[in-house]
Amino acid sequence: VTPQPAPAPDGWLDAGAVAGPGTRLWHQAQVAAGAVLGDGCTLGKGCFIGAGSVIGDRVKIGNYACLFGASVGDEAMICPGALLLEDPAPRATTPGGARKDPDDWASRPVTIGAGATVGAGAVIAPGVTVGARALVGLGSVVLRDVPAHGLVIGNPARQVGWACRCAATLDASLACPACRRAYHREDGQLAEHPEPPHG
Amino acid sequence: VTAAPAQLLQQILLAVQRIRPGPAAPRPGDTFTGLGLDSLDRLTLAAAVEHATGLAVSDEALSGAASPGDLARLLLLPERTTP
Repeated sequence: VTPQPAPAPDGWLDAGAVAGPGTRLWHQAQVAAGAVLGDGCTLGKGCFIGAGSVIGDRVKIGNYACLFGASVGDEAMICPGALLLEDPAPRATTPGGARKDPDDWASRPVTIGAGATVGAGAVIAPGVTVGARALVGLGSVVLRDVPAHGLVIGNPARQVGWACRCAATLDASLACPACRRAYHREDGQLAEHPEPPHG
Repeated sequence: VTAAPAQLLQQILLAVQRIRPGPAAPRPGDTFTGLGLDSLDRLTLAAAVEHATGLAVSDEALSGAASPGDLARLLLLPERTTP
């Protein structure tokens, strides 16, 4: 990634933030110093990318989503209003009453795998990893790691199935009713068959 | 809390029927998809079964079960222990 000037006049790329070519910031989006955005990303109105965040290529981040120090894989989608948190012990001040500075707390950022989706209004707790191409349902509160292709929803979020690369829910035979891709279990993980079945 | 297999299956079938009422009563081998349950309905089903039986429905059972009978079977498996 090569540092670029602010790619859109309406978004706000702080000094020290980096955005790749083709990345667009809509009105009032802010990227804090120390955050890195890949190529071809789209940041919606009013979203915030905090210091230490590393965002891959072709990532979409919806309006008013807030990412604090998160690592987000290529082609992931963070829907509007989602919160990716990083402070496991949030307090405004130290026990002595002084304002907390960056050195006064430990960051446990969220990791989002490539191609995963975090639904609108979902909250991802500090330190959680959402696997590649997993799908977090709208409004979920995710407190535990989500496996690759896992489909989770609820508060606390629970896994209710498996999501295809295309985001449809897999059927009982781990096949996609929408695009016909097929999957199988491999060492406790979900693996995609090399080629979609024909016919 | 334990539940006898037949009683547990009955509780699951009852919960399915309440979530997705249909012209015919659900059968143990009917797939959840065929019964019209989507992923949100599965979550509702898990909560209903837990409330009715006191059993904990694991995420593994919830995401892996294809039918009411399948879910009952998975819930009655002995708990895995970590070596």
